[in-house]
Amino acid sequence: MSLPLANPGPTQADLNEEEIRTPLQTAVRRFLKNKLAVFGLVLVILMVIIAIFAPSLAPMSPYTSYPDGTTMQGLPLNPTWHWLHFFLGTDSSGRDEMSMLLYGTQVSMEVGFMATLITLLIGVAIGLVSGYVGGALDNVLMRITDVVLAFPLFLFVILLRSVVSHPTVATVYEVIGILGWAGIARITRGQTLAARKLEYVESARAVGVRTPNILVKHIFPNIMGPIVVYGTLLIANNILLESALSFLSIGVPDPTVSWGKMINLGLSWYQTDPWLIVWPGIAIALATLGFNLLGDGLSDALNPRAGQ
Amino acid sequence: MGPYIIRRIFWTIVTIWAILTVTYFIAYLVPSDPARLIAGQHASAATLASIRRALGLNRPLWYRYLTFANQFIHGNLGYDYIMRRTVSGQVLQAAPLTFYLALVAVCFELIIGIPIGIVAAVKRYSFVDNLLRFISILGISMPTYWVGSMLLLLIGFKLGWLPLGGVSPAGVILPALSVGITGSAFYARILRSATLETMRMDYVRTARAKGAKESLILFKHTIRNSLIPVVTYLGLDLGALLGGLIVTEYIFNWSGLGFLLNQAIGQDDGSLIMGVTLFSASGIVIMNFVVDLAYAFLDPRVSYS
Repeated sequence: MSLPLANPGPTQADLNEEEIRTPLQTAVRRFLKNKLAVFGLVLVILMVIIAIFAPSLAPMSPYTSYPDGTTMQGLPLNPTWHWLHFFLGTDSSGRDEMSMLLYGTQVSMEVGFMATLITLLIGVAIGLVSGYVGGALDNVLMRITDVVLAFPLFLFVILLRSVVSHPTVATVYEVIGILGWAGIARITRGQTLAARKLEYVESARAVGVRTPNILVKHIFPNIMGPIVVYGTLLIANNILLESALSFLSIGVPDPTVSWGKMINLGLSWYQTDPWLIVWPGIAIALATLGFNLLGDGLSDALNPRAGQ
Repeated sequence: MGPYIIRRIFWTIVTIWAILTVTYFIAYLVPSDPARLIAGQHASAATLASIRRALGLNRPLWYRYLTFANQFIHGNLGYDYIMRRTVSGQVLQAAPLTFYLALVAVCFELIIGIPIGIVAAVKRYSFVDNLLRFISILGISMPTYWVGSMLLLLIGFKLGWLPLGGVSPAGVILPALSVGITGSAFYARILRSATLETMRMDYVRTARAKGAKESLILFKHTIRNSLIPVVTYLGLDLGALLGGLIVTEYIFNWSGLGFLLNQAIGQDDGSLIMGVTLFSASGIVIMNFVVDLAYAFLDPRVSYS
């Protein structure tokens, strides 16, 4: 389905060198040749660094409504372009936009990674068992997966999130993570079905390796590629999902800063202070773009034959 | 064909039943006090007590669940708690507007996505292809509600070309375009790979060998056959489409199901949230069934076994 960005095809020199490279080295080389993928990786690393060091990077406090943060009429300030003094302007309650943007990275990364982790743990476990054990169990698990796959995810995330009376950031990623496992379960099952017929898996079974060991040590490492690709794209999706929930004001609770929440607040002021919806939107798009480009590049690097 | 339809009907019913059950258990078992959910955070003790009686919370669980399912089958989704109107009435009033917006949005998705997909396939592995690919990935990376806000700001407010919101003939364009811009990327990518695959088919080579014009080969032989996966995706995409509609209806005050849902969220009206979820989710499953069926009729290669 996805295609490599630039496909010059192997030269004779490449072919000669390829013989002495491990599959991982080949994949890394192929990945590094893909400029967009490297750009995605740089964006992702940047976002993670900003999330970790947001408290040191932020010029002001994102939670404080500064008395000089609004005009005499109580309106948001325009960007001042002075780093330590309302660099990108303020919101309607006098908080520093730049600092809020930097802190917003934390929620996006936390929810993006944790929700994906939960989804992968559930989905991969179900897929591995379903594909390896087969028979009636496989049938039951896959029918359940089909049904769950037919659920409109966003609606059920809203429903489940709205019944929690004292939400935290963890509530948001748990809700997203618990409901989203069906897609990766399907993919893992398909990969496991193919992997269980491989000779080394059969020989492991023949010498009496126990099933859990075969699944974890022999099959899982062999099917990691597609799971990593799917997981990376899922992080992008979950960042969007969190921001959309926060935009609808059922995301992370106050006073936690979230980009989606910033756009929601800014929407009341878009006619006089359009920047309030421009900045956080660019932040979300960059974070999501990073993971999407990375996932796309990984897909090409790990599965060179796809789509050619 | 007969057994195929029966099997699909069976699974559609099972799925709707699962949606009903999951919705019920989320709404009535996850919260420590369902009455609190229905009435909202600020309800008085007397209100809570009356809701508990009305909900029959003193009765056994299986009885409550069956009553709930029975009401659903008869089209009764209960009452919202603020205005005491029937949920089904409000949902049915909002649904046609959402359906209409969805149709226009899908048109925009196809109008934007199909040309991009075709150009990318024709110019494969070139600079143009790479550029379109980057644009597509950028498209799926932008939140739909942000694209909507930007359109509202630039086309609605700065240029003043289209209404800022509300239900009107011209008012459908901006919300539909927001969904169309972000949703088109998937269609572009699916069509691109499908077209590349079709280009390698024997009959395309035959057409070329007998001297057919390139444009004829592209439009008559290649693209027509490449559109089949696009139809499949149309069915799979309905859930994501609804997600986009929920946020854009909110921005543009388009009083469809998403608008209703946001109203319910704002008022903390659990009964309305549940009703909209149940109705929309079941609607999507049924629409999916219809698309699948249409697809099976259209494409003789689909196996019914």
